Amino acid sequence: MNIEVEKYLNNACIWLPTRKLKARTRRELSEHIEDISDEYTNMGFTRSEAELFALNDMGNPNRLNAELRRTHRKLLWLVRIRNLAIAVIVIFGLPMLPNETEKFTDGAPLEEIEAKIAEADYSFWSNPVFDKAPAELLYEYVNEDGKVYRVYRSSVGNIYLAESVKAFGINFKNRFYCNTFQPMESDDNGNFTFIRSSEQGVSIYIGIGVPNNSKKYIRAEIITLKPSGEERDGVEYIALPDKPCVLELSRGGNEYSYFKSIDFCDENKVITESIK
Amino acid sequence: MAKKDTMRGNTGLLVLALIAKEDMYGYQIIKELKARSKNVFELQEGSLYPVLHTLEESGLVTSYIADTESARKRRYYKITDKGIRELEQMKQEFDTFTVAARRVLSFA
Repeated sequence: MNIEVEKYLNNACIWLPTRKLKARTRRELSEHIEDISDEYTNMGFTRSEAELFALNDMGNPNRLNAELRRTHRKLLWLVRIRNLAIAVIVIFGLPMLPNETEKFTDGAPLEEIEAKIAEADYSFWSNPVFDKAPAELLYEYVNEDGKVYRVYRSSVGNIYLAESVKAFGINFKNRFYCNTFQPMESDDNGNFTFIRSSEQGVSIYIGIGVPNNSKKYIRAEIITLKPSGEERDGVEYIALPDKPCVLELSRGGNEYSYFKSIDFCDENKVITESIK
Repeated sequence: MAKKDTMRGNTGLLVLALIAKEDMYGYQIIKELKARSKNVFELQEGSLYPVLHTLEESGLVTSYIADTESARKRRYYKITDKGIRELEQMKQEFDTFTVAARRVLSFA
């Protein structure tokens, strides 16, 4: 398509209220320009000359755009109101979501909690669990950014990790996303030395709990897929801190990478070392 | 070309009258308008679309995509029942207006 035609269509359809309307109008105008261009081409003009004449016949694109926007002003206002409503819900809605006392109480049936947690597991961190759920709170950790991590154990012994929601730089301390976790090491007293989980695509391992004196490092085996398709293996050693903590080890960015395995080790290595 | 002021306000009526005869797409409407008015009514071609969209938003026409004679796909406009009723009313109003206008002008 002639660049002038492209420019014309861009100017004529800019700021129309919805993508669908924009696409439809753009296509309709483009077809009309095509029809006029055919007429000029049949008169003996070259295609690019014909397209320029066609644009002239179509009229000023900015005026056309103003008329189209006036025509669809009702829709434009509806879209504006919808966007405003979404913004209001996002900004003010999150902190106003029901807190623990409204949703789960000490007397809430366990099935309810289990169902909620199971649902959360399937919807990839999208559902909350709340304080005071009948599930037993085993561990709580607040990191330097104010993010809260909790470990719950249900009466049937399943372990869940709840992670507080952070949005727009605000920590919502009574809103948690949860997922089931399998502890790598734990004892009957609820001391977890390491708990892990994974999300689709990118693996995330999170360590929680009391460091084991005999295990000073985490050895993470990482597979990185380069954009070229080349696969690279790497190993990182991460030192376990002296006190209870949460370690979030995530992979992402331009390269797709994931954890192949993750283990404790005793090697007296430097804090982080990558082996290519 | 008819002066803009003469056409203003009546474009919807003219376009609706054409679509009432048969389903048409934009370019076809412009050509028909020009041919039937013996080149008196010539719209800036782009300005037809706000008119068509207004008619569609008001429920007087609907649109659909179909092949043209040249096998190209085009968006056709079709008059609705509401459009037919509205067209009749607009025609009557227009007739009343033109009769009244002629009476006034006959004094000049």
